[in-house]
Amino acid sequence: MNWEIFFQALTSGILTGGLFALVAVGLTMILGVLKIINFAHGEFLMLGMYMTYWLCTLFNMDPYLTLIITIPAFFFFGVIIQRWLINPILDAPMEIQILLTLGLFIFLANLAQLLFGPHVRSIETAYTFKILTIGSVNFASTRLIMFIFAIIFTTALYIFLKKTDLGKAIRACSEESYGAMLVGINVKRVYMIAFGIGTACAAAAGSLAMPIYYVNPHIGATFVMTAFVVVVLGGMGNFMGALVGGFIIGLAESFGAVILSASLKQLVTFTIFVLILLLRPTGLFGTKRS
Amino acid sequence: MKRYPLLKMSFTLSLVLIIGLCFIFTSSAFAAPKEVKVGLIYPVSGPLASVGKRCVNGHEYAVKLINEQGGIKSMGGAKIKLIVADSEGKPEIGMSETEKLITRENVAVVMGAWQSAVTFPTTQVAEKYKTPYIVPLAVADAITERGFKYTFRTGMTATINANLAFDIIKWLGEKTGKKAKTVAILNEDSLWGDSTAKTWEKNAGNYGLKVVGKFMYNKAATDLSPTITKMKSLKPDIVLQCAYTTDAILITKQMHEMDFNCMARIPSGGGYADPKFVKAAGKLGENLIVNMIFHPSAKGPGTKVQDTNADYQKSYEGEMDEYVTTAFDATWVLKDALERAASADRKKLRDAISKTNINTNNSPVLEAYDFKFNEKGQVPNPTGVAAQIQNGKMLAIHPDNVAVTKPVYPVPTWKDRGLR
Repeated sequence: MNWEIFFQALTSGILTGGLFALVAVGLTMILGVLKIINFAHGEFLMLGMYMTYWLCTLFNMDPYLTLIITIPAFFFFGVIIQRWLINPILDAPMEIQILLTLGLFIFLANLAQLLFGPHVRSIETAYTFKILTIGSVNFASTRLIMFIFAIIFTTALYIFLKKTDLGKAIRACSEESYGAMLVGINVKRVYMIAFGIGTACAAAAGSLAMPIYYVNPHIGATFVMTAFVVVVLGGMGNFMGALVGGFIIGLAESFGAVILSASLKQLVTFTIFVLILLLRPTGLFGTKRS
Repeated sequence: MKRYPLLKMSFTLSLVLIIGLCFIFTSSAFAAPKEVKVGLIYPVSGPLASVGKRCVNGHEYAVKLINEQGGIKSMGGAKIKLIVADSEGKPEIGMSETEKLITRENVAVVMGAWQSAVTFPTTQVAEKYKTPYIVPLAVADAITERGFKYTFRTGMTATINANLAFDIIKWLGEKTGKKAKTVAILNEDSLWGDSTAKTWEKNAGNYGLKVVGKFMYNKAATDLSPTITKMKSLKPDIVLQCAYTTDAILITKQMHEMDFNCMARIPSGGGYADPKFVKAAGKLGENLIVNMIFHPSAKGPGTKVQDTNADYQKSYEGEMDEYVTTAFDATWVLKDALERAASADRKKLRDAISKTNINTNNSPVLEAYDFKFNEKGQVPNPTGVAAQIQNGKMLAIHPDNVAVTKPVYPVPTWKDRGLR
């Protein structure tokens, strides 16, 4: 491996890691606050991609401008799903909850197939042809923009959780929901907001990924599998863990592809997954739960 | 029931009517002219249904033409009747369905099954029952390597298909005087990509080409830039590829991103042959050369291909692609054999098929090669079509007898195209 390849792998890993982090932050938020494993997370991302695709194709919108529509739209979509689907089964056994989100995943993927067909779609914008070169390292402007937005969103979310009353309430519910209820926090409302934020994160990631990737009804699984690994790596429900984990997995995949083979990079990812589960089940940043 | 005498009476009446109608229909069937039953086995449900359906369309369309033109003349105008069985894309279901076609439906011949994994065991079932089986498109070499007497393949084998890529490279070199010396192989890691890549690696030397690198990836990859950078450092003249549609788009975008240039990329069909790819890749797909089994832009003798393609689109959605045409051609091979056998007897039909000798120039078949079978039941020298995307359209460039335009080769760099 020469330096040219090394720096390219480093850049690619960090840029892709930003996207993984944004997807994982949404997932870990839902997991941390509601204690629910959301298998439909990838489908929110896929629907976000479709929304950006249609807004760009039909109304000629700038793909990054579509964020101002996708984020609120999917926030409310998440709130509705939480209110009418997740809430009634919050106290049900875990297998029931898993079946529900799994069912939602299959439903949404097939709904997309019914509405949009199984075909692959992709958008071409003015950004597509702008490539940045630093020394020998190449990367598309769309990747850098995706990365910057992902960092802005996660930082904003972090500040929101740390500094605002609502953010503190979300964290309180995440740590001890009964306690939160006792001090007068409206837990049901917090749950809806948390699920809405998680859904909006996935959809925002979809919008940001659309100019780089392609969309079909099954794209969700591609990203969300990696996101699950990131969440476990960072410690389930841990915000900083998801962020750092995203970069670790991004770099691991990138260097795995160079050192071994692109065919085996999933092997690297899941080896890390298994090792974390064996050696540090609470994840890098996780603390023991009662 | 006493409360509804009228209801009861109308129910009885309609029952009588239905039974009566059944009698009328069955008795009219006795009066119909003789027919030849042909079984089809394809995945017509499940995730592979869209391709399976296209294969069935090809058979159906050919049968429609044959029956309209007076059926099998040597059999008193007997019509061909297709019976479609669903393999669901699974070998074991394919086997039981094939058995049903042969024993219960009593078909004279079976055609199918597109997927090599299903074709392999179902041809075995047909061999057991001594029933002819025509394979239009399923490329695993082994299908015609088992000494079967009743299996015939009218299309490609994986080896022939892989070697066609080298023929194209050689032909491009001779045509333009710019010879390629090195190749890199970039393939997805399922059975198809892996076995094709191995054939390329093994045979490149025979064509005076050196393989400088071989790269595999999983088709669900989200980022292939490290792999492409690595390949870029090897500076291959040609990149040979096997890809599905989604990875084809990702690779095309990232080769642009990494400023990877070579004389030409020559992928083998798959995702690159998907019309959706051309649309999704847009400007970045320009000048790509794809090695395909068939492409509707190919020039047949006269305007045969274009006319058939236009007529086909009156009844079906989309252009005739390789799935449709291979099925279409296989049906005409069967029609020709039925005429000569003058019988639907399986043994006689098998012998007639083995003596097939169809010249593409005076037959409705669309592939540009002649149909005859060697002792293995394989068409010995099937040719494909190489097409290049020029101004956003796929156009046939190779072989010379089907070409509609000249190749752009070597392909200009991203910079020369003003894309960087």
